[in-house]
Amino acid sequence: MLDVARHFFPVSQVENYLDLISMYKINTLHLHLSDNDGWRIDINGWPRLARYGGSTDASRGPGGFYTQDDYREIVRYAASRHVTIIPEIDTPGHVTAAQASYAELNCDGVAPPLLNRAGARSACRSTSPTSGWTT
Amino acid sequence: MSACRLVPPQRASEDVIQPRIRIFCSGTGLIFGDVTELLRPVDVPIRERDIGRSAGFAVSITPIAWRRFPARSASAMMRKVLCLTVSCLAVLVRAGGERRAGRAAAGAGGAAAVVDGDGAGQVFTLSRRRGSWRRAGRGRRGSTWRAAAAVDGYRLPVTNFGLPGDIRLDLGGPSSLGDEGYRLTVTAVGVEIAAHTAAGLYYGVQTLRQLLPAKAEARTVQSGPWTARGVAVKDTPRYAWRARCWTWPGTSSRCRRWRTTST
Repeated sequence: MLDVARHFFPVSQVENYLDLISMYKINTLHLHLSDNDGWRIDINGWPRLARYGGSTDASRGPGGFYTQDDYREIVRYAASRHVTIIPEIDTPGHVTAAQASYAELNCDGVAPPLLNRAGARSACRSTSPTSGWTT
Repeated sequence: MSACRLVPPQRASEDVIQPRIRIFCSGTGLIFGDVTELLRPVDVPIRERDIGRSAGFAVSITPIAWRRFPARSASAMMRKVLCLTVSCLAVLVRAGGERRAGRAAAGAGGAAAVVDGDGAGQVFTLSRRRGSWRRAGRGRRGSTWRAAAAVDGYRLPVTNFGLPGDIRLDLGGPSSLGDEGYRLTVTAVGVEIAAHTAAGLYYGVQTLRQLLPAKAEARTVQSGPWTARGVAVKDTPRYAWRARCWTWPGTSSRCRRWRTTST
C-alpha cells in the first residue's frame, strides 16, 4: 500500500516505487487514493473532488492529483513489471476532502474548509441518524 | 518535486554487505523505512483483509563456495560501464541476504528448491561479447525483454539466436514452475533462465541482477568485472499476493500492524 492521499506522490515517484518493489518480486500495489487530507484521482462529473479536494496535503503541502491518463499510465507501468494496482477510495470515514469540495455531501449542507494537516473533522454534528459518528 | 534516492549500504566486513538501505525523498524529508524490510520473510498466514502485508518470495540461493575469477575478456570491454536506467533502485546483498533468504526457505518448508551441481564453484562473467539476452521457446518480445535489457548497461541485444556465454531466457520452462516461478542456472559458460510465463522470466532476471555486484545497480558509470557466481535455483513464490505497506509514519495504523507482526 502506498498512501498517496495524505502526501501526494507524482507519477514518476510511483513508477520508481514500482521498479523497486518488482525487484523484490512484489506483485500487488494498493493505492490509497483518498483521505481527509486530499482526493487524488480525477472523477468525471465530480471535478472539484480532485481539483479542489486534492489541493492540500497532511503537511501543509500543495497536494496534487492524478488525471485519468496519469492513472492509466501507472497501471500500464505496473503491468509491465507484473504488478497489479489495487485502487482504494476510502469511505464512509476519512472524507473531509470530499466534504470540503461539495457542500451537498454534508449533513448541514455547509462545506467545511480543507484540511492542511494530519487529522479529521466530524462528519456530522446534527441529530441525524448518524449522530455521534465521526470520521 | 521531490526525488528519491537511496543511501548506499554500509560495508560491514569484507564479504557481507549489510542490506540497510533507506529511501529519502528530498522534497518532503520523510524517511519511508528500511528496504531491508522488503527482504524480511513473513511466516504468518495471509488473511484476505491484510492487503498491506508483505509476503516473502522465498528465494534461496545456495551459498556455493565462490571466488572471483579474474576477468577473462578484453579488459577494455570489461571496463565498459553499467549505467542503469532504473531509478529508485535497490541493492541486494551478497552473503548476508542470501543466508537470510536461505533461512526463509528452510522455515517455510523449502519453497525454493536449490540444486547443487551445475554451477558449483563457477563464476559467470558478463561482457559485451557474451552478454546477449537470448530468448527461446514461445512468446513474443515484450516487457520482459525490455526489462532484461535494462539490467545491463551494455545495452545487451535481445536476439533469437545464442552463443555460449549468452544469458538465455527460455519461456519453454515446465508448467510445474507455475505462473511466477523460474529456474536460474549460472555457470561459467552462461546463464539460463527458464520459466513458463513472462512473469517468471521477469523474476528470474531480478534474481540475476541481484547476483551481480551491488554496484551494478549504481546510477553512475562503474567498472567491472561483472561476475555472478555459479548457482542453480528453482524458485516459486510461497504466496500469490505479495505486497508491502508504506505510509506516512504516525498517521495510519495499517502499516503499524504489519510492522508489529513482522518483527
